[in-house]
Amino acid sequence: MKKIQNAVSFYRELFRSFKEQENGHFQNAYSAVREQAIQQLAETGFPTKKTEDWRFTDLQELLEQNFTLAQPFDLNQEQKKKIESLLPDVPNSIKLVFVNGYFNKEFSQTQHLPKGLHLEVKENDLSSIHTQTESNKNGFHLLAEAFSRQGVLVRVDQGQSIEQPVYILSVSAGGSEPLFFAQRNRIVLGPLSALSVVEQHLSLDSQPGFQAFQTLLELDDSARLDYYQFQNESKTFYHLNQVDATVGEHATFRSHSIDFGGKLVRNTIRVTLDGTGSDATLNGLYLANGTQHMDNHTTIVHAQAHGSSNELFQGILDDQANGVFSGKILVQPDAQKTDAKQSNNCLLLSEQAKIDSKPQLEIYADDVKCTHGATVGQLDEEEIFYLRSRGISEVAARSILTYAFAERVIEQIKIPLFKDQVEAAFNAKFKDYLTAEQ
Amino acid sequence: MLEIKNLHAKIDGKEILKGINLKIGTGEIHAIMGPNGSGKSTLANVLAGKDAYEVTEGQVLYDGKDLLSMPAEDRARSGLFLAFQYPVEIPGVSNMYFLKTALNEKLKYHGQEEMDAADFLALVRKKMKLVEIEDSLLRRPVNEGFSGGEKKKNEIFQMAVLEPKLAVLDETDSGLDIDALKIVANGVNSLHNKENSFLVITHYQRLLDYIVPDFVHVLYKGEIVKSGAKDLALELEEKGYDWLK
Ligand SMILES: Nc1ncnc2c1ncn2[C@@H]1O[C@H](COP(=O)(O)OP(=O)(O)OP(=O)(O)O)[C@@H](O)[C@H]1O
Ligand SMILES: [Mg+2]
Repeated sequence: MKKIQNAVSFYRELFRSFKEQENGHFQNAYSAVREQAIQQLAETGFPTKKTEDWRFTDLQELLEQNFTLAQPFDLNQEQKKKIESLLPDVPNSIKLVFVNGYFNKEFSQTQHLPKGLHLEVKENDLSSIHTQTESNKNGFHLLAEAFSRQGVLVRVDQGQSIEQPVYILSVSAGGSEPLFFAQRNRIVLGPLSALSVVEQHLSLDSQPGFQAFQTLLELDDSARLDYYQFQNESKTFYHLNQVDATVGEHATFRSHSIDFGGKLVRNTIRVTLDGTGSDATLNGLYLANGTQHMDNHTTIVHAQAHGSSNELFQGILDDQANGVFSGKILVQPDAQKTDAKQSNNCLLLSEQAKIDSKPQLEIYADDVKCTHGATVGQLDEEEIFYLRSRGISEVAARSILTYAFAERVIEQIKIPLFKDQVEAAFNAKFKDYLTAEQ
Repeated sequence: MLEIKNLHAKIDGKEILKGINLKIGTGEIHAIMGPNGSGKSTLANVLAGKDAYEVTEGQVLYDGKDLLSMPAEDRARSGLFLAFQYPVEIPGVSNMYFLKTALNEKLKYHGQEEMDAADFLALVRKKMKLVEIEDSLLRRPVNEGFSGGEKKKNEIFQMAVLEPKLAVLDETDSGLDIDALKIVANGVNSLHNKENSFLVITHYQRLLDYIVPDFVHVLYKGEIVKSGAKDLALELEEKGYDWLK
């Protein structure tokens, strides 16, 4: 408890320097939100191991660490090249790049936009990004509210189907001092509109840090959003991520959370199917080794009838890595004819790797179909032998089968360029696994 | 080609093979018959290199090399092929990718150049005709959701692509309809030449009408209790196995 109190005072102090640094820029409509968030943080503090939703994720190290506020950062040539290589090399592709939480004009492209798409990078005054009236905000949510300097507001007009994906790239770079930064984004889709968003969190070097990231997604009736979150930060990074999506009538929401990097990763994803016949796909892939800790907490609220949801999380854990999957499906009384599927599979490649998996079904309607399944295990020896009996080496057989396991999520990525990038990152990391074992 | 000498093998502490002796010459076709549980698949798996089996005694020479000291993948690369009695399903791995990897591993092993996508496709087209396997099956993950007969056909198709020197077919005929049986037999016959050998495990003499063996052996309780020419299969069909006890 004392430690958490210390952490609270640390962030209150940090907030004071944050205000000083911004030197009066905060006198705007959003200032009150920031102050309130810090106030509330003092009251509620951070989650502890006794907090049900955080039981399996030890925050002690994170909360004991002192971080420095990120500053604007000048990229060197090499770093610039690296960023370029991470972005699509297509003329007029839509890109928003942030370096240590600061918007980077040089690499961003927000001028040539297709009709019906609006992009705004908000600074200081984030009122138009803040709409949440949620009551149960946890400490990290509050940090994002208080400390986000900039944020992206994306809007798509009614009936507009945007073909080009919007790339949001958040990179960290710099030195060895651990940095803290926060960001809030909001994506709003009008009725009958469609959009894909690729959001990437990457490290250019081994810069340690802590990022609190929060995104609001709102899909009006019959809208469709393909939302990809890919995190491959350095293994010294704490990544605390929260997504709240509201899905309207007959709207389709597809989300993919892919985590390969980070020291401690927590994705809290909450989707509310708030209209008749709305549909959500929630996919996740996490690949952890060393002492990485990856925690996925998802909640799907079926609030209206005829909704469907399909959730697939695939985890691959090696060494002493830890995984957490908690998937809650809440079917409210009005949500008759709900069809909800959840599946969480985890491959444990070493004896010390560990997964805590907790499906939760809460059903208050009687005419619904809900299924969930979880598997935890090793690669199938029969399958390995089959491949070997055709001349494929044991190491190759293991990597082919592991890849096939991940492929169930990767194959659902609909943007070829991004899919290639994820595949390459997967292979690069998996090669590490294999060579480490030799 | 293959010489098995006094082979004993155990699984989970239970002795299944109790001193097998068998010699297969280059270009020959041998058939093994025998009641359920007599150890036919065990023999096939031991030859292919499955780790679960423990060889307690004996020796196997393959092309003059000590087969049992080779890892499974090297046995395959040097031309040994097992068509499984129960092929496993491998979700997420496409047939084509799998087979291309396998073939290239073999080529690499022999110091040959790997095949590119176009050449591989041409080869696949040719072999597909041979076993009349459908294109759509090859695009699917290995054996996933295949019918029993489709799985067997896929084994023979893989064999056709990999062109083994010694192929062991473990009850490839069970589960095949009469047309599929003929296709599989034709496939085997057209692959058969003076340089390669086949060991065909079956319960039915019918298969041996199509794939004509040079020798027939009876495996009974882990031992080869009788060997003979093709007619032995007919005799077994008539009399069963009781008279051999
Ligand atoms: N793990 C095991 N532990 C103990 N016994 C086993 C194990 N695996 C196989 N066996 C036994 O080994 C014996 C030989 O099995 P095998 O599969 O080789 O028979 P088969 O001749 O191929 O029979 P079939 O004609 O039915 O295919 C059987 O009695 C089987 O039950
Ligand atoms: Mg058998």
